[in-house]
Amino acid sequence: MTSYVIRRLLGLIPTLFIITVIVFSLMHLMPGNAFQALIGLNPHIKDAAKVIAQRTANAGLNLSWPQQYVNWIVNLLHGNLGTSFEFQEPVTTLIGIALPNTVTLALTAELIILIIGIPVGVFQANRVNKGFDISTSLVAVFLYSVPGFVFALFLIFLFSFTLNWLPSMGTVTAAVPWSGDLGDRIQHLILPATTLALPSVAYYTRLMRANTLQVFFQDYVRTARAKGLRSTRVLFRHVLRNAIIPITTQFGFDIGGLVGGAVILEQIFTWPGMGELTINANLNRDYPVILATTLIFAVMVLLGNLFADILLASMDPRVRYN
Amino acid sequence: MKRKSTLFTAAAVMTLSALFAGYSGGIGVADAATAHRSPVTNGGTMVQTFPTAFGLNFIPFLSTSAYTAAATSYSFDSILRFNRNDQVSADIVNKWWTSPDKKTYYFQINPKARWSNGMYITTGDVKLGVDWLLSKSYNVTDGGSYGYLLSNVVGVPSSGYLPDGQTPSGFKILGPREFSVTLQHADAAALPANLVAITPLPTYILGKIPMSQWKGTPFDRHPWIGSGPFITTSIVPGQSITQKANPYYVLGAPHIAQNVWKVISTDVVNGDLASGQVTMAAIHAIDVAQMKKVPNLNINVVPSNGFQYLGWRLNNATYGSVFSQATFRQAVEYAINRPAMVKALYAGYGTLENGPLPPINFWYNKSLNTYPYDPAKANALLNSIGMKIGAGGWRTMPNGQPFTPTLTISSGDTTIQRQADFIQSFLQAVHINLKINPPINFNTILTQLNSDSNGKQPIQAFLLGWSLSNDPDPRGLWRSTDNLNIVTIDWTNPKDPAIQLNDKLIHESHGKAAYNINYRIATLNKWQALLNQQLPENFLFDANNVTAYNKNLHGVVFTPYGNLDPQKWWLSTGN
Amino acid sequence: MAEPLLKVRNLKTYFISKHSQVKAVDGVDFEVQPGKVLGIVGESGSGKSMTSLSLMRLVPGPQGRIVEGEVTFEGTDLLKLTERQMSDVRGNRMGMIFQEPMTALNPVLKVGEQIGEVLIRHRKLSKAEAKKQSIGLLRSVGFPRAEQIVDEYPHQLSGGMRQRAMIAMAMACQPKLLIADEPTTALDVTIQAQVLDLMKSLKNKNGTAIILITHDLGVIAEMADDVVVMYGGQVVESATADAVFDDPLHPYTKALMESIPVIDQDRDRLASIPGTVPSAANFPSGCRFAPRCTLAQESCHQKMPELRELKPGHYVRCDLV
Repeated sequence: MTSYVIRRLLGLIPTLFIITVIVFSLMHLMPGNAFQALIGLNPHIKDAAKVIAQRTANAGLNLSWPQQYVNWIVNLLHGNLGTSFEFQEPVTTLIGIALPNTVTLALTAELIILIIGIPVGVFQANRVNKGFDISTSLVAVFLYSVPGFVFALFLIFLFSFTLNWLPSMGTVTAAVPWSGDLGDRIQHLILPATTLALPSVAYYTRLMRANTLQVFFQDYVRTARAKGLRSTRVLFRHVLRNAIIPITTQFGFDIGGLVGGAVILEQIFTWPGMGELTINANLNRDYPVILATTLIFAVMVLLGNLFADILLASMDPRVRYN
Repeated sequence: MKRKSTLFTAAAVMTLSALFAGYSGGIGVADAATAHRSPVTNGGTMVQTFPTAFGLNFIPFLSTSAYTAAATSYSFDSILRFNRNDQVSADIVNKWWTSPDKKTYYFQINPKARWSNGMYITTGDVKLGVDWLLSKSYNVTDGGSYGYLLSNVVGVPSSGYLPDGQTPSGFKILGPREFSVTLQHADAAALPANLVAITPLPTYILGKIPMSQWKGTPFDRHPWIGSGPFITTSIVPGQSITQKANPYYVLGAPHIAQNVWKVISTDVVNGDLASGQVTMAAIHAIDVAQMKKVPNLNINVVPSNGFQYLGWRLNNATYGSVFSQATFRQAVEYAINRPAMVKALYAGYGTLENGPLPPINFWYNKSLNTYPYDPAKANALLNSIGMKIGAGGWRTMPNGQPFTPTLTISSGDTTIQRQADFIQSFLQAVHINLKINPPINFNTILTQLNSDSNGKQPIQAFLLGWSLSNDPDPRGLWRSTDNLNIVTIDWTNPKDPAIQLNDKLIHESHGKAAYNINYRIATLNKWQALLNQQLPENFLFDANNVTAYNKNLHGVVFTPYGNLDPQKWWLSTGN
Repeated sequence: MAEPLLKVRNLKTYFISKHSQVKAVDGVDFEVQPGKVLGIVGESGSGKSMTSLSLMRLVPGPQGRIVEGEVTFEGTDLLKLTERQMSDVRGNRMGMIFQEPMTALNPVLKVGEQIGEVLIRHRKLSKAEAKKQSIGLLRSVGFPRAEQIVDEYPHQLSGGMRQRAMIAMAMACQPKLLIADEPTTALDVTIQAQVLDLMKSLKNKNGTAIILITHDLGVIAEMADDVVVMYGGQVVESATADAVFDDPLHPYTKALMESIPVIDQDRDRLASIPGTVPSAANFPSGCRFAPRCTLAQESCHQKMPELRELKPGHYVRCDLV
C-alpha cells in the first residue's frame, strides 16, 4: 500500500511537469504586463518606462521563456513560489492564508454532499417510484440545473438578510470576543458550503440512486436475501457496500473539482480563499500568483484522483495496487 | 475606496478599474438637521466595506492596495489635511507659513498631538516619516511609489531616494515641535499636492528597526498604535480590519467606539446595508431608486472628482490627420447626447464634464462651453473640415478615402460596453461610421497604448477615465512631455501652438506667482478654457458617488474627496 | 407415503405490468419428500427457476408476484407468512444455491463473513464463533486450507470453490430443504461431478431434501428420486425418476430423453426438439407444447389438457396418452 502510494506520487511528477509547461506558455500568451498597470498609471513616477523596464528585469520577465521556466522550477524546488507583483508579498504567504480557507470550504461541502447525497439516493432506490423518490428526484434535477451563484444569492437573501440567522461573508465574525471560535467558524461555513454542495448533492443523489438500483438486482443481493438476512443488513452490508464504490471514486475526483468550483462562490461570500486570489492575479497579470494557484489547483485534482484510486482500492478487494 | 484628506492614494487612478471606483458623498453633513436636534451619543460599532481583499502592509505608503490605504488613513494622520472646501487645514501640524522666497515651509506641531498611547508626537517622528519616504529600502527594495512627494526637497538626488536613514538637507528640525522643509524650486502645488502628505511615524517603535526590515515586521502586519482617529485592534486577512477609537486623537476623540472594515462582495452589499449588517457603503447609481425604499437607509449623492472621456489616438497612422483636428473633436462633443447617456447609464446620477476638472471641483472654471447636444452643429463642423458624406451615407476623409474608425473597449465592464453603443449610434447619426471592436482585456488596451508611438497599434478610439486628487495640479497627466499624456491622451505634438500654450499655462499654474490664489485660479481658468476649446479628448461625464448609510449614523461629511471627519460621526441607539 | 416436507399446490407467479401479464409459473403442483431429491427439469424459459424463487418468496418485485397457490413447508403455508417470518425460514430451514457462483457471492465481502452472517442471523452466534464454524463448514465442503479461505474474497477462488462455498453457506444451518438452481451449469464437467458428489454426501449426512433444478437430464438421472418436468410454466409430467426415465409418457419428456447423448448407442445424430419454448407472454391457447409436438392433433390446439394421474404417482398433462 505504502509503496503503491509512493509510486503513484512519483507518477504525478511528469503530469505536473507538463501542466507547468502549458500554464507557463499560456500565461505568457496573455497580453499585458503587471507593471504597466502598477507603475505606468501613476502620474508621479518619473521615467515610468524605465521603472517598468527595471521592475520587469528584476522579476526576470525579460529572460527567454525557457530560462524563466527553469528559474521558476529551481525556486519551486526550494519551496519558493516567488513574490507577488501586485502585493509585493511572498506567494507562499498569500497561499498560506487562502488555501486553508478553500480546503475547509471544499471539505465541508464534500461532507454535506456525502451526508445528504448517499442516504437520500439509497432511500430513493429503496422506495423507487414512490412519493419520496419522485419528489426528491424532482428537487435533485432542479438543484442540479440551477447555477450555484443563484443559490448563493437566494440563501444569503433568506438566511442572512431576511432571517438574520447566518452571516453572509467571511470565515469569522469581526470585532466580537467570540471571533474565530469553532461555533463562529461553523456558522460562517454553513451558507457557502451548502451552496457549493447543492449541485453535487443532487448529482450524488442521482448517482447513488442509480447505483443502488443496479446493485439491488445483482445475484449476490438475492443470495443475501435467500440466506434470510434482515432487510437492513441486506441494504447496508450487501447493497450499500457495493453501491458506494463508484461514489468514492467520484468523491476523489470532486475534491480537486470543488476547490476550483469554489472560485465564483468565494467571491459572493467574500470567502478569502484561492478563488479571490486567482481572479485578482489573472486580472492583474500577477504571474507568480497565477503560476502558483494553477499549480495548486492541478495538484489538488491529481491528489484527488490519487485519493480516489486509494479509496477504491481499499473499498473494492478486486482492485489491486498495481 | 474612501480617501481621507491625506494623499495616500495615487493622485490619479484609472477609473477603468471601475470596481474600485471611489465613493464619497454629497458635500455637506449627513442629516445635519437631526444632528443639531438630538444629543450626540458615544459608543457603538460602525461597519464599512471593501469590495475585494486588502493588502497586508499597514505601514503608511507601503501597500499598493487602495483599501489598505483607506484603513491606514484612519490610523495615521498626515501633518495636514483638506477640509470640506478642499482647502489645506490643521491636523497634527496646526501652524504653517512660508519664507519670502516661497522655498521654505515652516511647520509647528499641535502641542496636543499625541500617539494613541498618550506619547506626544515629535519632530523626530516627522523626520522618520520623511526618511522613510526617501529611503532606498522604500523606493527600491519595497517598490514604493510615493517618494515623488518629497522629490523637490533640497538634498534629494535625481534618483529620488537616499540611503536608509539619511535625512535630506532640506528637512530641518528646529525644535521638539518645529521643523522646516526647503524646496529646490518654489512650487505653489508643493504644499497641497505633496507636503501635506508627510506622515509622522512612531520613532520609539520603528526607529529601532532597520528600514530594510520594516516590510513584514509585526508593526507592519498590525500597527498597534497610531495618530489617526481609529487604531487597529485586529486584522483577519482577506476579511476584516477592526479599529477602536483613539482617545488622544488630535482632532478630538471619536464618538464611535469601533470601526470595522469588512470585505463584502458588491453582489450582496445592498442586502447587508438593508439588514443593518453594514453601516455605510457605496452603491451603484442604478440601485438608488430601489435602495431609497429601504426604511433604515439614507442615500447621499455627490459628484465625483474625476472624468471619463472618449480618447482618440491623435497620431494614428490611418486617421490621425482627422483625429488631430480640434474641429473634429468639437463636432464629436456636440454629436454625443451626454445627458441622455447619464440618464440611461447612471439613472441620472452622473455629472457632465466640460474640461479637465469636474464642475464640483473648487478650481472649476464656470464659464466653459458646455457643448449642448447639437447634431446639426456637429454636421456643420464636420462639413467645414471637408468630411463629405459619401457612398452609403458615411462621411469620408477630406481626401475622399473611407473613414471607418474603430472604438476599442475593455471587457468585463457592461457599463463601458453600453457607453460604447451609445457613442456609436450618436456618431452614426452624424454620418461617422464608427465601429466597435470586440472588447479586450484592460491590460491589452494598456499594452497597445503604451507602444503606440508610431500610431500603428490597432487602437484608434478608446474609453478611459481618471479620478483626481485634491489639488488641481495638471502635472503628471497634461504636460506634453508627461508619459501619461503620451499614453492615455496623445496630445503631445510640440509644434501645435495650443499644446505649447498648454505647457506654458501649466508651468505658470504652480510658479512662484501662483502662491497668490487668485493668480493660480486665473491661470487654471485659462488652462481649462484652452482644453475646453481644444478638447484633446472628448470629455464625457462621470458617475456620481452614491453612498447608502444607516439612519442611525450621523455627522458624516460627504465630499467628492471622501467622507470626512470620522471622529465627529456618531451612532444613535434604538433606531 | 409419509407426510411430504413441501407441498406445492396450484402455484401461480405472474409478472404484471400495466400492459401485460406474463404467467411465468401457471398452476404448478408438486411435493418433496423428506430427505429425497426432487429434480425439476425443463428448457430455459419453462418456469423452473421462477418456481424455485417462488418457494423462497424471492420473486423479483415489484412486477413479479405470487398471485395464487399454497406452499406448505413442514405444515406451514409459506405464502401466508409475514416477510419477517419468511426471513426466519430462509437460510435456516430452507437453503438455496444458485447457478452463477461468480455473481451470487458478494464480491466485496470475505467468504467467511458471507457464511458466518447466516449463523449470526439464525443461530445468534457471536462473530468469533461464526468464524470458527465457518471454517468447519468450509472444511466439510472440502476446503483443505479453510482457515485461509475465510479471509479471502470470492474473486480469489475458482468457480468450483465458489460453488462449494455457496453450498457451505446454504447448508450452514442444516436446512431441511436445499433448493439448488442449476448448481453445476456454470462449472467444468469434472468440477460438476465433485459438486454433485458433495451435495449427495451432505444430503445423506444431514437428511436434507433437495430440489434440484436443471435442464440436464444426466444430472437428474444421477441425483433425483422424483422428477417434475416443466414446460411453459406448467408441470407436464411428474413421477419417480425411474418411472420418468423408463417410461416417459408426455411427448415433451420423450423428446427430452431423445436429446440425451448416449455413448454406446449408434445414432446418426442427436435428436433435438424443433422450435422454441413459447414466450410466457404469448402462450398458445391449447396445449402449450402443441406447436412443437410431432403428435399434435387439431384438438391439442383447442383445449388445454389437464394433469392426469395415468399410473399411481405418475402424472401427465397430455390428452393423447
